[in-house]
Amino acid sequence: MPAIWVQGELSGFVHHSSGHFYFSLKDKDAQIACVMWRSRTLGLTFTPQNGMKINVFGSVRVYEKRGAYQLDVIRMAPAGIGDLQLMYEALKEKLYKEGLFDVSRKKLLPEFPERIGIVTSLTGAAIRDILQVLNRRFPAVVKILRPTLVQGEGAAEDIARAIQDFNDYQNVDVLIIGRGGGSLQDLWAFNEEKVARAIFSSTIPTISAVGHEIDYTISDFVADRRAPTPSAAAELVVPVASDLKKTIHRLHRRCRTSLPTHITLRREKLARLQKSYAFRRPLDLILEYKQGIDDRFHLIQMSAHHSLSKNREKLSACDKRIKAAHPRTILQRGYAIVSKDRTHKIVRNAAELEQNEKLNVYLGKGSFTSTAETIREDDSFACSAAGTEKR
Amino acid sequence: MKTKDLTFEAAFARLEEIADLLENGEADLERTMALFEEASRLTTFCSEKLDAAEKKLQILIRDDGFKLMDEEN
Repeated sequence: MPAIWVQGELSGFVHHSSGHFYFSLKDKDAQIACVMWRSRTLGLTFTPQNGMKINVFGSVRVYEKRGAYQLDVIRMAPAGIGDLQLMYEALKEKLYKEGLFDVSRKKLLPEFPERIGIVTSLTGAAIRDILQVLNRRFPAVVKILRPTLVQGEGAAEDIARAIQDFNDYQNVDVLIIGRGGGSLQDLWAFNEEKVARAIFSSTIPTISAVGHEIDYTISDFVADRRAPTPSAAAELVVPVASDLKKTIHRLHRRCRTSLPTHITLRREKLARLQKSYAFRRPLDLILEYKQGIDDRFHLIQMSAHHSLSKNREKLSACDKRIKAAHPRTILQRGYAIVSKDRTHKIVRNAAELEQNEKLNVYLGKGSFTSTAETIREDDSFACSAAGTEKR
Repeated sequence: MKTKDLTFEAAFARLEEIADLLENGEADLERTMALFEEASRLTTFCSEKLDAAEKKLQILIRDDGFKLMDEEN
């Protein structure tokens, strides 16, 4: 018969003094006796123990002494881890392709949750850790636990149902789903599809908090946030109340101090308005008009003064001219006016005279009568008179 | 989520908003005073929430409906 792989639980294991292994491989329905010869056991990297799930490679022989079939084992490997790892990778791949890990589908955690739902064991370390951190950071937050199995038979179903319960209940702001650290088998429930789908369907934001730091479960990938430990989940889900209180008082102080600022701002605005062109304008106009009036008044004053003095000059000039033009003024300079006694006509030309005509002669001061004796019609008198003036 | 009451989150967000509004100084005096009063009320509300006594763990039990039970220690 060709060699085959068989999986089962190791039982009745005997490490014989000869060095050969004798054991049985069983599952819940059947079992088969196995032998692994010493020479083939030398390369084993683990110590077989009863209860272990293993894969063996070998061929079926008949053990003639007992008339029974037995498996002649060539190779042997622990089944659990390898298989779980394979299942894990397969499921991860499948759910990834389905989009269950899509970042775009992830919900934001509330900034200030008031009610926190917790899915974990009532008796495990996880709930103690979570409560300790929550009570230290934000004691007033409401904490509601839906206790579940977290490992073994039925754990995945229970966890999935608990998530659904909270979604039906609705009255929590965020969910923490998790358990403390353990082996891959211990954490297995959080790698099951049921749990992954329950987390994905949750309308309440979820935090997956499974195991210790290095373990990534399928739940971690599906949940809206992943915390490396339950304590870390509690850290990230609530702020520190005392810090928040400081923030709130700082906000209130900002409101309070902005009140005087507000009034100052108003006052400054008012001052700006008062100084603004529009407000200054009427006063400016008045000032401008006032200045205009002053200017004009000055001009008028100036021009009045000017014209007065000018007229005064004119007057005085006229006066001089009038005085200068007065016949007496001329007469005072030595001239004389001669008029005919008979006609009172002023004589301007000697030719107008008649021999021995009676004449009146007016001087600068006084007058006398005279008779025209010798009449000379040329200008010799004038020359002589001028000559006389020069003397 | 509780919707019937003011949530801490909503109160906090509103308080931040009012602080910004007041610092801007855009609102008229009457509105400023109203905002300041609201800010004071919100501060009291938030402080009370933060100062509230530690809540004990409650257990969610699904029966016909839901009920909460205090954890027995």
